[in-house]
This record gives sequence, C-alpha cells and structure tokens, in this order.
Amino acid sequence: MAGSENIWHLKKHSNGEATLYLDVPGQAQNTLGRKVLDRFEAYLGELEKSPPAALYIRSRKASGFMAGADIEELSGASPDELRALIDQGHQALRRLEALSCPTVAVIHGACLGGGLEVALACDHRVADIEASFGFPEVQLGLHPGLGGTERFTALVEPATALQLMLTGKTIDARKAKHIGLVRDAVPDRHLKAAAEAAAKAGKARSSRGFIETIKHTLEISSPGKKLIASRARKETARRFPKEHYPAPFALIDLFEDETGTEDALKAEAKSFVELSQTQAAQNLIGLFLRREALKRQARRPDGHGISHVHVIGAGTMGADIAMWSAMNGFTVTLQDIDTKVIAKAIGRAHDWMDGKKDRSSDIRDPFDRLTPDPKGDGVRIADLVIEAGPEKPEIKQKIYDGLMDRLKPGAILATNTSSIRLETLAAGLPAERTGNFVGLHFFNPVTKMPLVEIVSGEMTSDETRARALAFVEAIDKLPLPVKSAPGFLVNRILTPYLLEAVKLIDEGHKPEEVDAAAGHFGMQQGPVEVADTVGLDICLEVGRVLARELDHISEPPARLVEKVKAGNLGKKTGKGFYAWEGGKPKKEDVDTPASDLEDIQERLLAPLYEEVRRALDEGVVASEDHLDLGAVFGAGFAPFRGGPCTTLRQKAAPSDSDEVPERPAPAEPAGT
Amino acid sequence: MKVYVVDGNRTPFLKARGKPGPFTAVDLAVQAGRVLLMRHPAIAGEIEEVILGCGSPGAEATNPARVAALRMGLGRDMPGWTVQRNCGSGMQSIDSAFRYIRAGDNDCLLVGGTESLSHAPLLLNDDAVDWFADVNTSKSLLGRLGAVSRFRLSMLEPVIGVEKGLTDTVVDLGMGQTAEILRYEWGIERSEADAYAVESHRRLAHAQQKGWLADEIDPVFGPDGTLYDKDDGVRPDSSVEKLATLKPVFEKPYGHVTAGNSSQVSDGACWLIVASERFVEKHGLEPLGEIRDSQWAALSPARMGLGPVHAVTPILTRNQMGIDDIDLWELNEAFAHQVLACLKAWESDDFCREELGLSGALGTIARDRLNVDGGAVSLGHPVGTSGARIVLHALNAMKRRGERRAIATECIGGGQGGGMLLEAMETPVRPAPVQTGIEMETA
Repeated sequence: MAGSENIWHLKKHSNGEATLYLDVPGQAQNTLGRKVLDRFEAYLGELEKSPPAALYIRSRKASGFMAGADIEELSGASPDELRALIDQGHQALRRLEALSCPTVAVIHGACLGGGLEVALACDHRVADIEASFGFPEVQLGLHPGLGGTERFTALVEPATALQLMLTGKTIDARKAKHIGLVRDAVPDRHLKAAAEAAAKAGKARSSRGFIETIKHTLEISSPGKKLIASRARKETARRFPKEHYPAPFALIDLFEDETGTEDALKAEAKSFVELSQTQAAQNLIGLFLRREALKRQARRPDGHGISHVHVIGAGTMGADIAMWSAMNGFTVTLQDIDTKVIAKAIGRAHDWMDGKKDRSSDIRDPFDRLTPDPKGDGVRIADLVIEAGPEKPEIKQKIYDGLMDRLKPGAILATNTSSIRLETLAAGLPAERTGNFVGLHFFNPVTKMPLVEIVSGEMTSDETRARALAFVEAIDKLPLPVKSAPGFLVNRILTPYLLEAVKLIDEGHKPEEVDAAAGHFGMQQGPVEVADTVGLDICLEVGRVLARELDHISEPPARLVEKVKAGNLGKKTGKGFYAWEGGKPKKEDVDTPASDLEDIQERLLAPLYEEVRRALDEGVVASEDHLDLGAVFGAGFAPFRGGPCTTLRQKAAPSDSDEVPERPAPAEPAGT
Repeated sequence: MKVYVVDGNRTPFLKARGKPGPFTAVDLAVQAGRVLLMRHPAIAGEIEEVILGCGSPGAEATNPARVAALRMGLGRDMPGWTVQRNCGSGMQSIDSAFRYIRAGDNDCLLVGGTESLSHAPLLLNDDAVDWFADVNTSKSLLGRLGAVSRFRLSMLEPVIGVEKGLTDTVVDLGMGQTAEILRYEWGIERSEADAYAVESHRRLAHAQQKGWLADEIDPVFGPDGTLYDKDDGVRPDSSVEKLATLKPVFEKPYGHVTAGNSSQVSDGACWLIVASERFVEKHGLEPLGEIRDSQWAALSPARMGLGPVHAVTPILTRNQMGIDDIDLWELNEAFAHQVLACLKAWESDDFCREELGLSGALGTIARDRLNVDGGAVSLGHPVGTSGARIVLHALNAMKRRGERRAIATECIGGGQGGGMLLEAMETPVRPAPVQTGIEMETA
C-alpha cells in the first residue's frame, strides 16, 4: 500500500489472522472522512482476495477507537458530495460485513458516531473497560448516517437503541456489555484474549437468550415498534419542538419504517443528507465547532499550574464550585466563617453525587479531595483561591485583606462576582497582587450550566487570564474570556431581556404568555421562569448596576422592586411571578394567538439584540463567535439558531444569498 | 536522639447509637488526618511512614493505615502499617515511632489510632460457617441438597463483633467482668464509682464550655450535612442519684458495673506527628512536647484493669520519680471501678511490695491532677484511638496549665498495660515538686 500518508496499517499474524490498525495522521483522535474511507476500501479489496483467518480492527491512537465523523469535512460538503460520501461509506461497511472471515472490533477509549458505525458492521465487538460508546449525532441536528439506525436496533433492544440515539448519550463499557452492544468488557490486559475468543466464535452474531429473543421479536414487530415510536415522539416533543429540532423526529420515522434492510439504509442516507441541509443542523454544527475551538484555545501546553483550589464562602455557589472542582480531580478546601454552612454544603454535594455515580470510589475520591476548612489553612497552599462571598464590595475586600499575608506568591485570586467591576474590588489589593486577580463567573446551578466567564480587568495579567482559562477548561466547563464591563457578557445581554419581560407583565400580559413567546422562538427556558429561578433580588441588583453604569439602560421596573420588597424572590422563596411547587412553576395554559406571541417576541428580543450590538462594539467579548457561545451556553439562547449574531446574520441574509454581513443588523437604540 | 510530638488532632468522639455511624474507621482517620497535614504543608512531604492503631479493622480495609495514607493524598509511595494491641493500639503506634526515632532510624512519622465501633461487624456463628462450607464443598447434587437441608434457624444468630472483641477468651471473661473482679477485690463502693463517673462528665462539659478542646478537635462532616464538632457522649446533667438507678450490664443481677460507670462505645480517630530533634530544629518547629519514656507490662487477664499500675511503676522507678513528680495524669477510664482500683493499688503497701517490688506504697494521685478534662466514661473509648488521645490530650492540657510532666496510661484487654512519660516544652510555671523520697528497691 503506497501512499504519502498511511491511515490504515494491515498486520498479518503468523497464525493466519490479521489486524487492521487505524491511525489518522496529524490528529490526536481518529475521525471518519473521505480519505479514511478511500484507503479502507483499498484494504477491503485485498482482504476479499485473500481473507485472513480472522480480522481485528483497532486504533493505534491513545485517545480511543474513533471519535466520530470528520465534522468539518461534513459541514463543508455540498448535498451531492455528502450523498456520495454516505453512499461510499455504506458500501464500505456492507463489504466489511460480507467478508468471509470473522471480524472483531477491538475497542478502547471513545467509540462514537462514525466509529460506532464501523464497530457495528463487525461480527463482534470487545471493549476495554474504560471505553465509551455513543451516537451523539442528534446533538448536531443529525442522526447516524452509515447504517447505525438499522444495525444498532437490530443488535440491542430496539427501545434502548432508540433512546441512546435520541439523547446522544454516551455509555461506558459496562453498560455496553449489559445491553449487548459488546461481547466483552475487560481490562486492557485481557483485551487481546477477549478479541481472540470472539474471533473463535466465528461469523455468528452474539446470541440472545430465550427470553431476550421473544422480547426482541415482539419489539421489532410492527405494533411493538409503533408503540415505542409513539412514546418516543411524545417524550421528545415535550423538550424539543419538531419545527426547531427535526432530527430526532426523522430518527423515529426511520425506526418505525417497515421496509427491508436495503431500503432502510437508503432511507437513512436520504434523511441524513436532508437533515444536513437544515439550518438547525448547520447552526448546531457551527456551534459545536466554535465550542471546540474555544476549548482548544484555552488549553495550554505548559498547563495551568493549579492543583489546590481554596474556595471561600460555602453558600450555594461556593459549595458547588468546590464540589465540581474536586470531582474533576483538584484538591479543594472549602472555607466559611460558619462551620454549619460548610456542613450543609457537604451534604448538598453528597446528595448531588449520590444521584450521579454508581461506583463507591467515584464518590469517595472526590470527597477525600474536598476538605472542609473552617480555619482557612488551605489558603497557604492554594494555587487558586476563589472567593464566593456575598455581593458586597466591602465584604469581599475584607476577605482579600485577610488573605494577603498567607497567599502563596503567584497564586491566583479569583472572584465569583456577577456584577461588581473587578477594578472596584482590586482597589485595595497590594500592587504586586493585582496582576493575579481575575473574575471567574460561574452560573447557578454550577452542575448544569456549561459556561464560566473569565473576567479580565485592566490589572489582570495575560498569564493569569491564560491560567484561569486553562483551569476552567480542565474542570470541563466552557471558558469564555470577557472584559470587566457592567454585567460582563451574559448578564449584560440577559438582564435587559428579563426586565423587558417584567415590563410586558406590567402592561397586562400574563407571565405564561411571555414565556410561551420566548419558547416559540426556541429559548431553553422562558424569561419569567429564568428570572424566578435566578432570583428576583439578583435580577433587580444586576438591573440596577446596569442602569447605574450604562446611560442607555433605565432603572428596573417598579413591579420588580415591589416583588422584592414583598419578599417574593422566585423559586427560592416559593413565590415570584409564578408560584413554585416541588421545584417547578405552576403555569396556567394560555391560548394566545401566534401573531400576538410574535409581537411579544420582538419586544423581548429587541433589548437583547441591542446589548449584543453594544457588547461587541465595546469589546466585552473578542468576537461574534464568543458572543454566540456566551448567549447559548450562558443565557440559554436557542441553540438551533446558533446564537444571536448568527440569527441576525441569517435574518439579514435569506438562506440562498451569500451576502453575510460582518455584524448583526443594528437595532434602534432604546430611547432614554 | 530526643523525640518530639510536633502536633496532633482528633475527631470528636461519636457515641455509637445502636447502628452504624456516619463514618468508618478509615473515613474518620482521613477526615482528621488531612486537616492535620494541611496545617503543616512544609513537613507533610517529609513524612516517612504512617502507623495507625486499630482494634478491629472492618471489611473496608485490613490495613487501615495504608488505605488512610492513600486516601489522604500522601502518595502511592507512602508506606503504612496498622498495629493491633486492643486498647493499647493507639499508644503502640506512638511508641513504635518513639523507638524508631530514638534509635535514629526515622525522623518524621505520622501515627495515631482510629476505630469505628459502631461499624463492628456482625459475624456468622461457627455452625453457620460449617454449614456454608459443607454446601460449597459438596460435589454431587444429592450431597448438596443434603447439606442444604441441614440448615437451622439458629445459624442466623449473629456473633456481635464488639462483644467478641471485648471478651477475653483465655479466661472467658468480658471486660466488664474484669472490672467486677477489681471492684470486689479492692472493695470499691458503687456510689464511689458513680461519683467518679459524674465528675468525669462534669469535667468534660466544663472543658467544652471553656473551649479547651477546640485546638485538639477538628470537626467532621457527615454525608447528610450534619456537623460533628464535639464529643457527643457527654451528659452534663448526670448525677449520682440518676446513675444509682442503672442496672448492672455485665453481671446481672448483683453486679455493680453499669453503662453509667463504664466507658462509652464510640467512634473516633486521633493523629500525631512525631519527629526527631534534628528534624524539629531543621524545620524550626514548635513541638507540643517530648516523649521521654514508655513501658508495656502484662498481668493476669482477669485483672487487666490494673495494667496502668504495672506499666507506669517501672517508668517512675527508671526515672527516679515519685507520684508527685508527675503534674498530670491521663489514666484511661475503661471503667470507673478500674480507675479507682489503680489508685488504691498504688496506695497499698502490700500490693506495692508484693506485686510491684517496691519498698512500700507509691502514694496518692491527687484527683485534681487526674483526667482533668474528663475521660472515656464521659467522652467515649474508641478502642484503637484512646491511647493516642490520652497522649495528645496530656500534652495539650500541660501546655494550658503550664505544667511540666505527664503520664498517659491505659489498661489493655487481655491483661496488659501501657504507659508513657511526657514532658512539656516550656519551663514549668509551677515550682518543681519536692522529692517525696520513696525508697527504690535496688534491682
């Protein structure tokens, strides 16, 4: 096999068996693209001519088997090119399936999307115990496209297969073994033996037990599938409206389809190409690529130099930041003047972890790393101190004063403030410490919110900013660099939109109507519900900060002030604009005509777009890409729209036009 | 080479309340140990080995020392071993460090004790184990069915691990029974023992109220969000009248040893950093005090409660000291009767002559120097931990009271005693006591 780049490597063993290794050059992870397929087909020809006794397929990358399709190649292809690529892939996998020798996928690390498609086309799969499996396509507005919809449902319990494809969830090797996706899940020291045992089992597919066979037959029968499909449709529609997210519904249609394998594969290919052309898929893919780019930029070859994190303030935010950091491998100390508050924080963390992990060491280890520290001994050994105290400059400054003589040289001091300017807080710091001062703005709830704003003030050194970015990336959050400006980015664009919602209620609209209008647009949660969840006191506080610091923003509406005065702060007090019960708002059904909803929508979005424009002008974030990521992952902006900048661009340039403006269309400035 | 205790801490002692408590033995050791290590970042990396006492390691770890070392983040290359000497386990870990360092073999060791008696296992009884083995080793189906059919309900009756651990199998006596023997031999009144117990509670409550234990105890945090920040077995409202109503627990119906005048069954852990003189100087440390001497002794298992008398006497003899040379005594309160028996033994001419080889009675330990902040009767007796606690507390209490010399000692189930002579760092505030001039028998 000549070629400047060797992608596959075929090794023939003395016992007549052979291993085909995948190692895409120049990449940390294997991905499935056209070149990989071309080369694969060439080897298939050779294997068809002189089949080995058994064929093993495995990866030479440390990162895993295969991370999925080459998304960049996929998003750049025209519909015709894409169809050709899909057809080529289908053909290659059919040929792999048809090889006369037993084939075994020997899997370690990530086996996702296209990787799982290849594995499913083998006779057997054996996995390293640390391997993970999934079809994440639906998160990109797509579904599996190389026969996965057919092969996966044929191999494992159909309802389980559908569920995994619909959620895009990743499962570990134990679970994969449990559902019958892999034949064996073993430590790597036994992987070779497991693969050889699989090859000995021959061409036959892994067998089901008697009960499983009956169950499977029932489920793939027409009424069985119809039942599963209709349930899945209802479940999906509740969270993802079809007009915004067509992919899961297309997937369910394929699942229900009754035609034979040949036609099913064709239908899958057609559906895949159609979906790839939808704006939703393109926006979701765009978002994915931009998100990956942001994470990549945050990583540093020389690391962040942080191993011990000290968190001051064990309230909800501090507690969650501490737990999250410990869970991601950091040694953490958690300080509070009230030891009982620390105890509550530990209880809270246990509650959350208990619901998450099933192996006891997974729970034990993070808690061994998380030390309650009423005396603050952790300050002297911390590489990063995160202050999560009350939002009062005097209190925060007093906390800093108490740290200065104990802080390690070079340690980063971070504040989790959501609205106080960094310059204000840094005023009292000794000159040699200001360079190490940075904002780390986490969002509530920390466990769910993927974004953290890394706030740089005038004083923040580039080194500190870079280390903070790398730290946030290391705890598996999306690190968004922002300038120290009023409300930073997320609160800056979110709060005026929330306040507009309050104004609309003031004018006689029902909260339900306002939320429905936002939901119609595709927001992940309506603004009134968001305001109640965040806390009306916090909305008011941020609103006041914005009004004070920005000329064009007026004082928060009187309605909000009244609510806060009355102590109705939202979810946390059980009453805000909604009454809350069991963590859920009680909402009435509303039957507002679509045109009215659109009017409300426009009113809501106008201040948001206005702040988007201004934030870009003022350089609060570095680019439209960053702004979109902040809006979607921090403010809950509709993901399938790709973010406010993308939305405005697409509105200004209707689909076929290639005139994409550099900036979102300027909105009318609010008249104050 | 002089040997110093650099620092130490412990968890609060948590009374076992009839079901497994929130922490296992290793959990307790980890919670306290990581706080102690954090207090000494400069020397945490210099620790050479971890030695931990534990009376009954649970199923979670047969070598709790090593597991605790790993879980505290001391690194995979940190050796650790566990010692078992019943109630002497915690002191044995300190004594091992003392001897290694004194010999110049080590410079810095992390030692202590841990115990979670509330987690003591329920064991299968012997009949059940035999039955289980028969079923498992039967080759044929018929044989197996036959074996299965021999199951009896009585096999489900568990052996309670704590009871087993606190029973001497050689003389077939429970620990409480050995206290009954001492009570009888030394003629100790029930009211005397109950008064002793009440005073133990009063002293602990007073120490808690004064905040004297704040530097010794680091709180532990339950998974359900409960804060444990003090020894919770204390009963400040205890009185002789109330205790008099309690029924004997070990020898019904005529016995005198009750739950009220015995130590409590508790969970807890305690750590100390023990280091050489050269290590202390190199790092500029301010130790709590010096370990001067130690002694182990053995006697009839039936009279194990007198262990302290047999262990401490040789220390005093060797160091040419009398009772009044010791400013502070920590004599572990396994049973109030047992503590009182020890005092009477030292006051007895006959006993001191016949059993200890002295020329006469050693003397009287003043009550205001004995267990000044309460003891195991009021704060609990996690078997493997207590020996470490009394050493740490003696050092802390001496520092507070401006005293110079202390003895920490304990009786040990099975018929042993352990003792340790400790010296505070500062020069005494109190004038040195006048030598009482007991005549030592020449060996």
